[in-house]
Amino acid sequence: MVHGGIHFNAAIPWLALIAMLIVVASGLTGRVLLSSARAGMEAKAAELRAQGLTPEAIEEQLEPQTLVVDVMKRWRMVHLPLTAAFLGLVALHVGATLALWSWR
Amino acid sequence: MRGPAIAFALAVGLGGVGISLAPGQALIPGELSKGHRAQRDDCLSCHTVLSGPATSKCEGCHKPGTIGVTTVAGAARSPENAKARAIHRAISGRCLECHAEHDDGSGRRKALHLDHASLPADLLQNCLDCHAPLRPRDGLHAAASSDACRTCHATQRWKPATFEHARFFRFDRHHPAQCTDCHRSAGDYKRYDCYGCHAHSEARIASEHREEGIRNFADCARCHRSGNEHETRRQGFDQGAPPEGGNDIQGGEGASPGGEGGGEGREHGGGHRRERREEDDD
Repeated sequence: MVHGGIHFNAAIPWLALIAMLIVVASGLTGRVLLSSARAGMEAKAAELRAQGLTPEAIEEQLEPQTLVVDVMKRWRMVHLPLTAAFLGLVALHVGATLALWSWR
Repeated sequence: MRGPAIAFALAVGLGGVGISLAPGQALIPGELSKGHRAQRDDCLSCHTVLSGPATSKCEGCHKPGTIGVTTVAGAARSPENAKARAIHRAISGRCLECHAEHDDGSGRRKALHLDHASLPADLLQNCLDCHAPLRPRDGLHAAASSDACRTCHATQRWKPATFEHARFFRFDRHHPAQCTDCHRSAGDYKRYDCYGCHAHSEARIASEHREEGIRNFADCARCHRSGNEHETRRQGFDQGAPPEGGNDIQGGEGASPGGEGGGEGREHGGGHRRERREEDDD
């Protein structure tokens, strides 16, 4: 937005900017939730190990946390298409600008 | 990886459709000038792919030699725009040096600089052919001739203007406190007198000059180029060398009280010399 002189004229750059913000938000959200789920699962596993449970029993006990981590890993299914859409809009913006640019 | 590929293709496809349907809405970096808004969705009417805006396309509509004379549609302008005609008649293929079409988003068009060196010599000598509408209305500028602008203004930029006051009167610690001490006619810097402070009473000045046989002393700075009252002698005035002349801003004859004293100033100088020689002869 700043590199173009902060204007509101062209839709494609604005869509690219909005897509970028969504991708940033999505990336940060996924990262925070995944880290949080992993940390929760590891804490629970340590607690169960301290209680002397067998690995199979621990795995059984951790099933809900494992499920959360698996779900969060699937966040990428949302995040990567958003990123791809953002890159598509950037490609259009940059391509159109360079195509009409004065190269002299 | 199908998801990202589909998303990429969708974004490019939908964006591409948007660009082809409404390129102005999709890509325009700034609004066009009023006369070109009809071409808002036709980027290629001015741009050439991979080489940007082309002056050949400008001149396809705005033909050299017709600017200021006829409209783009070919109708005669009445009256002709003499300024536009004068500027454009000698400039061809350089439209983009001055004309920026897309505004910067705030409604203003980027100010581009006309290289005055590209103008024909006769036009370059007559600043007012183009700048007359911008001419300030005060007395100083009203008296300036068309080629006197460059005394203070440069072609690189209109401001700041530099006026070498020392060519007419050198300032020192006593002169001047305020411009209006000497230039007491509001807005008229062609007129001045030296009676605006306690040091120079008109009666005393008159008396001192008459004692010296000087009859015409109205244009003080003609002889006294600084606050030093003896400076006229040091300049070799008595040897017959007249003080430097003024320039056109000062009416070509040196500024004078009442705005009419250029000629009087010369009489003053000449009279001064003449009467001193008469004294010497005696």
